[in-house]
Amino acid sequence: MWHPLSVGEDEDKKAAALARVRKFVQTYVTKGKYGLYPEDSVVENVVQGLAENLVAHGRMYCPCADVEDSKTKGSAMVCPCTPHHEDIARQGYCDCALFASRDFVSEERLRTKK
Amino acid sequence: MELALNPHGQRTSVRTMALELLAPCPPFDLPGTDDRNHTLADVKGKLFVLLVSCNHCPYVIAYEPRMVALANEYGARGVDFMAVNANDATRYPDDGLQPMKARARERGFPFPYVRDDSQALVRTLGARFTPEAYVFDEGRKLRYHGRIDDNHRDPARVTSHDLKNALDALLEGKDPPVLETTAFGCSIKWK
Repeated sequence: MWHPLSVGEDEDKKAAALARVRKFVQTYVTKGKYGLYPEDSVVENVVQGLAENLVAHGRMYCPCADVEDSKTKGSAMVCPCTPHHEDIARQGYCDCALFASRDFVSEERLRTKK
Repeated sequence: MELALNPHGQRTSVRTMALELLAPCPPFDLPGTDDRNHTLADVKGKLFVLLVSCNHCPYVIAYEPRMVALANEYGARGVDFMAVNANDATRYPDDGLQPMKARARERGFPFPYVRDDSQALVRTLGARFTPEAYVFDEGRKLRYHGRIDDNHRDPARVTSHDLKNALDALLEGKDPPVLETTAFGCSIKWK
């Protein structure tokens, strides 16, 4: 069961988790082959979800999957999750819409400029 | 929808073009958890709220009580609601019609919960996430598209009730204060 932080509760923990998630995400896209999903508000929502899960469950479980189910799968559903390569190959972005292929990012930027 | 191909002819992305404001609601004829098919012609309400939803997404699960509450509140004011699940049930068996029936029963959905197995409806809508809301007026033209509100985690911390605001405005004969927002949630599981 997912337990959101209440107001004023463990704000330091949340801030530290957010910093850790942001650092991980930045490093992953800087050093890896994927970019960020090309919509800042969508990315930020996923980042917040990862940070919430990190605080509540100790690991960056995908916020788009059931955490209790994810816990039964070892590290498979900890970001970057095992299926994200396959998801990106199939549809251009991972199921949480955090990481995307460079091609998808370029296409979306072109499309939104039009 | 548009499929992009890389120089090797491989599909590199799945993109959906959002239905434009004032565009007509796409027709549909889809099986529901109530063992009957639902069509656009069945919709009689002053407004029609179409919620792109699913079974397994934690965002949807967080929003379901709000979806039910909205449908109960606005159903009494002549607004029809329907939820549609188009996720690939092969990869996500929890999103098949039988688990949908169980979900509708458990949650007491007061609206039809239909299965778009071909994904044709949600592709035409240009939906990307679950949950994602579409509000059509009496002429079944799109008047609001986007999120339900701005905080899926905690209803008590919502600061912008976007869907509710749109419904209130439209019921008063006004334009929604915000016409489009970015929906948050899980991506639709395309086939």
